[in-house]
Amino acid sequence: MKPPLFEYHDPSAVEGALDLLAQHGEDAKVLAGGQSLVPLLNFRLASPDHLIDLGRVPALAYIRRRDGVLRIGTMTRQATLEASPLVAEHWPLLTGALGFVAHAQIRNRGTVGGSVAHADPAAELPVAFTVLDATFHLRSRNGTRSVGWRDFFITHLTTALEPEELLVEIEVPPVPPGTGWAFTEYSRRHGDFALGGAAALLTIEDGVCRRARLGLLAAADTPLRAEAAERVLGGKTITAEVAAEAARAAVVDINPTGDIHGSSEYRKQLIEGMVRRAIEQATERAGR
Amino acid sequence: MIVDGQVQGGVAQGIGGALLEHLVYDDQGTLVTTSLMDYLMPTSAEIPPIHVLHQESPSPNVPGGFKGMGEGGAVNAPVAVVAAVNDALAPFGVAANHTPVTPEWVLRALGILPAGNDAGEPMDLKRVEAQLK
Repeated sequence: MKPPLFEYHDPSAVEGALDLLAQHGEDAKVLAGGQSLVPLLNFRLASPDHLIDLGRVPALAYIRRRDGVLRIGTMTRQATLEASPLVAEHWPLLTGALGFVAHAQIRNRGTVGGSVAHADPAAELPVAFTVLDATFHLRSRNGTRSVGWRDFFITHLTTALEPEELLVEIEVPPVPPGTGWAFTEYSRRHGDFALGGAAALLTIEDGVCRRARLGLLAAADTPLRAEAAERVLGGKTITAEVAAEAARAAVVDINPTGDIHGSSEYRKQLIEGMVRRAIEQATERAGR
Repeated sequence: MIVDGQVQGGVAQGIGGALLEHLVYDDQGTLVTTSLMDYLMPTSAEIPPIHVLHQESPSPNVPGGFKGMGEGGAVNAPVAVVAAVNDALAPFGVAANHTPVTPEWVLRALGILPAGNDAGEPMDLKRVEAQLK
């Protein structure tokens, strides 16, 4: 189908976008890369009166590292982040996660901020940022505010963004030395939405896990941190048994939504396996 | 080359039918796999390299000896794939008698997940053998 009628705006600066949001907020949608929004429009699942295109706001596309902290402009294309040597060196979890984001053609258009603001619990970047303890910087005409991952993702396709607010930047703290990463997911076909998956960041010193971060894909209505499983790993030498115990702890309280592609119980079983595999891969990488 | 391509396309369709493609209806009889996001057709990533060998037997009944072809891949590929799955399942005494065979179905057939009512019942090989005797 063709999308419903909307008024198109293409501001050239952040201020212009914020003015438009202040004016039309409730009836407007921000268009970033359009890889989720445009299908939603074409299926007529969304019908905003105004579309505010950020495609001509170059100031929102950047990748910077200062004092060890990564700052990603919201309009950075996923392919640009994936190809960044800086990100690959210091935050390889992001590079690894991006490899699972749909197809290369979609990553060429899709943006980092768009994926975060869309907040699909089966999407890779929100889970990766959750595991990386990221902070999201929001702007409106009334000022700026920063929201941590815990408060940002509210439910399926819903974030803490107010109608007049724009996600402008994602801040990622440094990852401690000695940290191994892993990103695992399974879908029936290459590039499809994950039926389940996991992200792991494990900091290992002298064979003992000092810090564990585990995230689950498609496990709940938001990207989910498996904090019970993180506690299982903390202070332990990670063996196959410990990994399996943590994976069990990760899924004990989840109740993934089942659909024609996989029942809830199947997804739970799948995610447990993905977590176990992520822990094993991250442990191996930390040891190198 | 056209014949090779047709056979390969047929095999791809057959693999899709064996593992992925499924028209799903809800309780009201409404088709729910209405887009290619939900009706899973295989893409090149799901299809392994296919080597085509030809055994030619010209038809004596038509000028030029021409014969139909191209459907062979689609007919035989599902049989080959499901037979391979059943070979792997044989030690567990179960087999698939339907397509598509999905990972979730395999877990249910093996008893790792409780039996579901949505896909084909696994065949009990012991009972099949007894019936054959």
